[in-house]
Amino acid sequence: MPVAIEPITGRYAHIDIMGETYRIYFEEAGEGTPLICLHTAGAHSSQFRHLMSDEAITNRYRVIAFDLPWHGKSNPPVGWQDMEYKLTADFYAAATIAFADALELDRPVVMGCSMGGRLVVRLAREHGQKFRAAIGLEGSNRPSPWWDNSWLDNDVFARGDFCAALVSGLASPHSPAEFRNETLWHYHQSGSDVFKGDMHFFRTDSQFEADGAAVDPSACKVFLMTGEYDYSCTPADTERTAKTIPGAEAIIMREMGHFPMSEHPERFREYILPVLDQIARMSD
Amino acid sequence: MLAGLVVKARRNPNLQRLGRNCTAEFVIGIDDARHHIVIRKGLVAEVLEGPFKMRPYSFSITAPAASWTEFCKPKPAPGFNDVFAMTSYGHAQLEGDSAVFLEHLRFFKDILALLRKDA
Repeated sequence: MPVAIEPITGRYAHIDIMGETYRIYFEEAGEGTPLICLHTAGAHSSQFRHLMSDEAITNRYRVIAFDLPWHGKSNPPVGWQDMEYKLTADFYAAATIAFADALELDRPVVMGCSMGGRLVVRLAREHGQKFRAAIGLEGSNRPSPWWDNSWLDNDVFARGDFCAALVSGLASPHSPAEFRNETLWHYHQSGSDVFKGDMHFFRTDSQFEADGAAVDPSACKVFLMTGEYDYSCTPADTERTAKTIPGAEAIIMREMGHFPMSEHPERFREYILPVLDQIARMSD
Repeated sequence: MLAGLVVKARRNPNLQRLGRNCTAEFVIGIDDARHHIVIRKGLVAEVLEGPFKMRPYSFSITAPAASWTEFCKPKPAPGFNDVFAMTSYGHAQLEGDSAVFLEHLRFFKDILALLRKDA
């Protein structure tokens, strides 16, 4: 029996982001409309592996996921050992735009989860001409903290096992244990204090409530898709956010948690395929 | 709800490995009843029934019985599937020294998971 090899390829690109050159790892599969995928805080691009192995998607979308600097197999900047990592909204947006420009992607769809789901609100407003659509998975337009910021002073945030345990309940009990635990393993793999650094964006530097009204839906339609088990970005957060963005569509995913693409790929495709169909029709 | 917790925990060597550096006492509150869970080096040594007069403990997780009943289902409803889901939606309260809870977070969450009927 032939060995099972996935259709995913991974490479490295050297990309300038806000004056620094970063060695960025990215994975991709498929051909067609580019679909850039943004991983969650403290995780990496493997969260999107199931989309990259789904022919119903890759036969018309070029699915591309990159690891943010400090995450996965992307490097931190030279000199990282003498600095504290703190993700800002400006850097996160600049990194995503720089990646799309470096790969010369023609009006990609951008899809982000959790902190990535929040960023797409800003991207749709600031760069609506650059993206043909924005999909926020578990995304809202402002922080809605479910734990106290003082916890961040605790050294446990340097530990991957802690970060995994912190977010473990965000996965739905209906999702297969294998994929829930694979999702948590990504948190175990994180560099120390990276999740904490991402929290600077997620909890402090991502007030985008004023951005929504300025989104031009004829340029970049926004889809917000949230699992009913998500208490980090609740269905109510998502529906409230969608109401502030012209033309935005809120989709609440039954029995789903905070990591739809990686915790329950079979169920997620039932929700994402119609959205990708709709975007393909808009692009025709 | 807490019946059999000591036995279930003893049958779980991975739980004891996770908590090998944990010695603590915490409280599970069900309505007005408070139960002290005594942990010694990852072993659930005792579950003590109140009432107590100022017995020390590190932290407490308290919730109405109805909330715990939903939490204990194999597939709880949204808002009840995790201690943080419950605190987030106001179905439960975490109080006291949360640092102890966070230091051994996976261990304590796995103890709570043993309360589930299918555990």
